[in-house]
Amino acid sequence: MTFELPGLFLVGVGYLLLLFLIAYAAERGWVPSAVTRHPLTYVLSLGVYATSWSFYGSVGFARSQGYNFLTIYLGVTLAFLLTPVLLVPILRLTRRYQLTSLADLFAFRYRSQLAGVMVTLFMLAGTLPYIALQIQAVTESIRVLTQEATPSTLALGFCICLTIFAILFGARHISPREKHEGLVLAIAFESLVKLVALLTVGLFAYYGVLGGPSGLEEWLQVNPQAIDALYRPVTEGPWATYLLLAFAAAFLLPRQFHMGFTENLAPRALPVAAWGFPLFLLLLNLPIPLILWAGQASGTQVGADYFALGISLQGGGTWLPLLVYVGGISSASAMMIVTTLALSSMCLNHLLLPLTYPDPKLDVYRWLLWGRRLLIGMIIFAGFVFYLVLQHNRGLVELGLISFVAVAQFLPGVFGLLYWPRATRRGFLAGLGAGAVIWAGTLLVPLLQRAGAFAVGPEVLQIVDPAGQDKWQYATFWSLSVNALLFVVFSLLSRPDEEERESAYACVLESSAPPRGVVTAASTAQFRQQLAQVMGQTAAEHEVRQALEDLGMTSDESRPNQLRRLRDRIERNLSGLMGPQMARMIVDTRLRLNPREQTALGDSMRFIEERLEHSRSQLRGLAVELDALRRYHRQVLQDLPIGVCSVGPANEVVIWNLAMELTSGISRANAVGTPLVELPEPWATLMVEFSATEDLHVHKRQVVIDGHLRSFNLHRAALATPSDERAVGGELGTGGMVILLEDLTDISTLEAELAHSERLASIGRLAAGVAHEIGNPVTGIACLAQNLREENDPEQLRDSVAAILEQTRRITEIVQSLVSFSHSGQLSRSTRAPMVLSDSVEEAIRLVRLSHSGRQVECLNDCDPGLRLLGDRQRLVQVFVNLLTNACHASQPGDTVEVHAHRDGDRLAIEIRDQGCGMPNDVRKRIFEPFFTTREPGEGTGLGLSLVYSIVQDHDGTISVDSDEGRGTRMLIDLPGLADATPLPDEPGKETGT
Amino acid sequence: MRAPTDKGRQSDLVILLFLFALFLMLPPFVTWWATAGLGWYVPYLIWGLVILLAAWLQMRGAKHDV
Repeated sequence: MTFELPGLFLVGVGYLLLLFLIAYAAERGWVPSAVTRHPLTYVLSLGVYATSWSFYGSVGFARSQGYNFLTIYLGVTLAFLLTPVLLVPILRLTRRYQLTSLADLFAFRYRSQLAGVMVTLFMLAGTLPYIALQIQAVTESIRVLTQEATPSTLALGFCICLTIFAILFGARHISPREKHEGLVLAIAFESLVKLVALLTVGLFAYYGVLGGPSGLEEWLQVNPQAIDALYRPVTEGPWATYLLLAFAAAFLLPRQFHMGFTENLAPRALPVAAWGFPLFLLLLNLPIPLILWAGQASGTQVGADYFALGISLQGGGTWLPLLVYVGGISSASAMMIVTTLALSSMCLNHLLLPLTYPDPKLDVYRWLLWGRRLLIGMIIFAGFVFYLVLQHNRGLVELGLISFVAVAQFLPGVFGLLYWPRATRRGFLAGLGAGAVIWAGTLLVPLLQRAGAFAVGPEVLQIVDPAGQDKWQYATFWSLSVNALLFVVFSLLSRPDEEERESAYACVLESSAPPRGVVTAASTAQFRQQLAQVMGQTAAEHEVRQALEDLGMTSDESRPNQLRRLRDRIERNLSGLMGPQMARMIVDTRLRLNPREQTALGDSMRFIEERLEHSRSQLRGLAVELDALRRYHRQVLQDLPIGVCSVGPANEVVIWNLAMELTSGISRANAVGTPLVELPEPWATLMVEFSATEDLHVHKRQVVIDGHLRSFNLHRAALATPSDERAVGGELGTGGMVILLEDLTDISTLEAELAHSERLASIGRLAAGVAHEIGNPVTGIACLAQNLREENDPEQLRDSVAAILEQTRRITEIVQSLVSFSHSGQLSRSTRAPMVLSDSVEEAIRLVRLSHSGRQVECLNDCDPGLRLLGDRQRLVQVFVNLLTNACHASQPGDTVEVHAHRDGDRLAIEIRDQGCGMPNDVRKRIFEPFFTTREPGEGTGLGLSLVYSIVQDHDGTISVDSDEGRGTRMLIDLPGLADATPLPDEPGKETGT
Repeated sequence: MRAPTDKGRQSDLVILLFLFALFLMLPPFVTWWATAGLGWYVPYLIWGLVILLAAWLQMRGAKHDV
């Protein structure tokens, strides 16, 4: 049976169109994200590893080298077994630093444009034979199906189609992050097609050709050499070399790197691929021996590479050969599309951009897009030229293995990147250069010589290895050995610079010094302005906006630490767009750092903490314990029920614990790194004022927050840097300070309520006296009013009215005192004002006289009327009422209670002295304790003197007692005074009485 | 406190499995199974065993992650 060429071409194009539809559906969101991000999709997308070599060539490989063909997949299995320690770190690096290719990764690690260029060129040289292999496989499969020689124009047509589809799949839009859901889904679908096609052919071979289990057994009995032919080469061939090459190819081939890391949509899928991908490869290779034996048993005339097609043609139907053909197209197209996309990204970042950076007046994005499209076309065309040169000269496996040896040259560089911070760019370049030269000399040049591209002469391999050792073993051993040796020797002989060291630590995820310097651009507008000079206005605005979005910042951001983060983010995003070297160059030139400005301590801490979080799983021994201790200390600070704010030397917030977040309503993320002055009000004022004062403690500082008055105690201490021992003694250290914030709002409210209750209780006790005091003038007024009815003498009338007014004044005074005293005194903005001390004492005496005991004792106010102080009149009256009441209680009827006051420097010394019974020593020690009372239950609350103590303390004063049993008591109060000439506010407290 | 220990143990197991797979896939063990006159499917069984162990290890690690 034969097929027509146009029909096969149309089937191929139709299949590619179907792929495009799948990709398009995924990109438009018609396919659920759960499907495109599913680990199975990821595993299948990695199946791009299986190209025409696997699909067709494995059978030929198995025929010539037996089970050695399995090494190409067993090596991959070994590499994926190391996923947590080998592949996950690479994935983490590529995601964090937006590295889109192996060249980006090396250029980032070794901080060298030359490294990027070398990797790109070598990768191109190593991959072109592989692309040629795919073209050859497709054209050869068409030749098998049509039984006619395939014209070169067909191969060219196939290449043009693939160019178009590669552009449609991966270069339709410019994207800083190479994440194409459509491409991933399409490649996964291709892998599924390959698998189904090969398994179907396998089943056909098993049942249709070999006759099922019994038939196979019979055939093997008749042909016992078939199994022997599979096993024998294992002990004779370069088994271990192939394993090593496949191990490297598993993640270093451009297409593997691209699908495994660059296009990875869900990092959690990678651990699943550790076994899922080897399982896929196992299933794919399971039918290979069966197809080989079926081909041998059926006597098909096609080469062993194309036994799958040959036996399917013998089946008689058309669908099976077409399925195999489509499987072959799948293998080739997937490889070519993904490889070309990966190579075009490398070429763009490391060849085209450094050579011709676009004019900022142009649309940079458009330039990059068209540059990439052009490169895709050029790479596929170069592959086509290579195909023409090599046409029909080599088997599929040979072309593939040449590429494998080429990518294996990156192994030393990768291990240095991941595990050896001492590795340097000179070591990498020397090793890779030597490896590339040996590879070219031993494999590429002989290939071209045999293909006739060079003048025929002795092969290089024959010159250097006349013994005729296996060339793969020979080339791999020498290229890798010399490569690794030079890599190590040159690395040890050279010293990495600061930039390279920083990248090395970033790659091995060890702790290192945090980035130094502050961005000179002071706002996002300046960022845009600076970037516009190299990228054009539109691109600059887009990049800044994108970075702000990524970081959740707003465009009015101006905090230095946040701008530093913005700079880093822009660099990473540009890295995804133009490669790490170009990105670094742009931000270094346009968003300069001022290295003399110290990096904020908060940033350094954040940096170190991030590093520790990422490298936590790598810590061992003492480091684990230290990390646990660090976490414990941090948690203690975080969970303290008191607000903790640590301030760095540059006055920026370094620690902002949970209690601070709850009290202030400012999140830790917003506070850390922010200078104190830039905190939202009123916190900026509160913190800055407190940190500027000499006081280490401030009590009951009142602040209005959201219309509510809050009360805080503030404490601070200087922090010492580890080397600054002077600060340990309490002097100001250079490590900033720690501020503790105690929210007293609830306690102060409670205290105010208690004081009010106490005052109301006092009024209750005064009630009888009040009735008496008001009753007397009322009786007098009644008598005078009766007399007025019969009085005609104008003189007498005036006297009576004056007497009535006098009596009402007495009543008013009593009522005003009571009202003023009983005022609730809720926590409110401080009512302190300049006041005359003797007035308060006088008012207190007036109130005390209302009580029974107060009337029996003579209270004398001997205070100098000139003494003034700053105080809360109502609360100070309460102090004197409580003290005088106690004194009256302790006195006998007829005794005298005296209140003296005099100035002592800038303080006022007040003394309340009674002639009462005094108090024993044990009582005197406890009188200021709350709820302590010597009276009968129900007669006193026990809060009077504790409130007195609290109020005096609030006025920055002290109170003490001097008492002996039987000799009376002296209460001594010391309060800060004001100058005698201090002006007084108008009639304080009067407004509450009317 | 448990997490780093578990992760460290997971990495140790990964390395152990890798070494075990190397043992199965490199001489002299390879020479043994290639010359022992075994069935044609034996290499696939060995391969399948390694995959099975890798799957068990990954699922164990995933459980610990949770």
